[in-house]
Amino acid sequence: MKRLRLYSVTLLVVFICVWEWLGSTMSELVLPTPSVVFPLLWTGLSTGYFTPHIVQTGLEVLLGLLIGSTFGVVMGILMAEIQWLGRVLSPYIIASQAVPKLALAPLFVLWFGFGMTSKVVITGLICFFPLLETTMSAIRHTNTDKQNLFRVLQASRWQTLIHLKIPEGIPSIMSGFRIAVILALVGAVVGEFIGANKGLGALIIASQGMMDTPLMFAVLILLTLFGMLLYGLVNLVEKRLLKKYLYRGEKNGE
Amino acid sequence: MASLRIEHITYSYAGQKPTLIDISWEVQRGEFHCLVGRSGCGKTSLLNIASGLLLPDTGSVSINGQTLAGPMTDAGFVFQTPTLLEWKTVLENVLFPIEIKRKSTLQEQQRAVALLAMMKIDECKDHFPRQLSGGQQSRVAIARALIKNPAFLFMDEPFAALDAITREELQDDLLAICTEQQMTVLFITHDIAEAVYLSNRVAVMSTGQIIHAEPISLARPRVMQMRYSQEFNGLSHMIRKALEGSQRT
Repeated sequence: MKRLRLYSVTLLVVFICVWEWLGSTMSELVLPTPSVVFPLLWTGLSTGYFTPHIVQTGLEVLLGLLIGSTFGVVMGILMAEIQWLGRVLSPYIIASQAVPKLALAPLFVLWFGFGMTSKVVITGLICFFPLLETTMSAIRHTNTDKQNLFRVLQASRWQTLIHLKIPEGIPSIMSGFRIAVILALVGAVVGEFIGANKGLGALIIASQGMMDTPLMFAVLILLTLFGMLLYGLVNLVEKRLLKKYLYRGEKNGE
Repeated sequence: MASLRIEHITYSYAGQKPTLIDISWEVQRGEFHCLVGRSGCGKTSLLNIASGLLLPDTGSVSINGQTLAGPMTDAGFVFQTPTLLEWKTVLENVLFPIEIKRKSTLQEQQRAVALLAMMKIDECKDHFPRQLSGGQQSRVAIARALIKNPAFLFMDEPFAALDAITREELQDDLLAICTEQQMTVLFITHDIAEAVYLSNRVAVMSTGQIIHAEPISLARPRVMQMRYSQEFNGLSHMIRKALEGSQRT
């Protein structure tokens, strides 16, 4: 394990060295070197220049993720449990997903303004589908013998849902959530590209306008770190709160 | 006398030819009946119908004269797969039939541990099912089926994943508990000797029909030595012949 971690760190060092070397052979406008980008990143962070942008994008991502995934899970459960509802709604849901949501971004900016709302709506819509799909298929494909067991135990529909279908579906639902987390960041940033006065996406567009490539790189690094942090948080929640549902006593959870 | 009565049932899965054809059978209270037959002959379907999990196309299943319209309330069930809830410990799984309705009492928890001890897996009570072998999981499923002391017990090859010695030990334990609680049991097995050892009566099934019924007149309680008696071998031979006969037709 230790050796693998060492390899991983070495790879990062090699990557940065190659980047530095490549950057030094061309204009800063095309590829700024890490020795320019990292000090800029540090100054931006320490002076608080990035803070409002990080907060803005962070809130958009979290709110969008929360709203989109909650709706996704609830709709997924309803559509799996109530057959006619699933039949009635699924063509519309597929249609709503077939429209590239990012193409709707300009419309949302028009409707909800340049503020946070439009980005939360886009992010929420993007997060909705992976959770709807994974939840629906998890609930629908609950083991038949186990469902029979619950019938023998005279369990109500609600009890079967709470004690069997949802717990058994948690691994699939969480894999949908992992996808949603990463998509949420894409949604928020692209939303900000279209029209925003704050946020990391807006900062990228601004740096492009100013031909400030080092700033653009600094923001890209911030976004990457933010994405990794979110992913790490999901892992932490899984390990702490959902351990028995996901690992079921198997060693890899320990 | 309380009994489980199956009368002239037929059943077919949607759009397929009938799985069960005009089957009638009766299990008296406290009796242990085994179903034997080749794979795909309809044993599991019959068990599901007898317990009310499936409703027959024609005919009826009744308990004490009352027709069954849904899953039986007072029944324990052991499915072909252990169907344990992987996110609950072994003890929680055994107590689950009670806990789904209300909090379990201390006595019930002790009973669960005692059942696990009888199944020889009490040391695993805090493990999760995935940490157990297939045979151990089957034993947990049996303990779970017995926890509420049901009047009826439906078991679908519960001992299939066990080694010979454990299987024989569990057969004795199961017989003891069934006799003590006067349980009525319908049991599916592929093992002819197991069927003879456990049963009052064995039904041999073939392509959706009961083609032979063999009353087992061995004395009770059943003991190890009987397995090697002439009578036991004679009965096993009869059942085997019935099974082979079904293969030829």
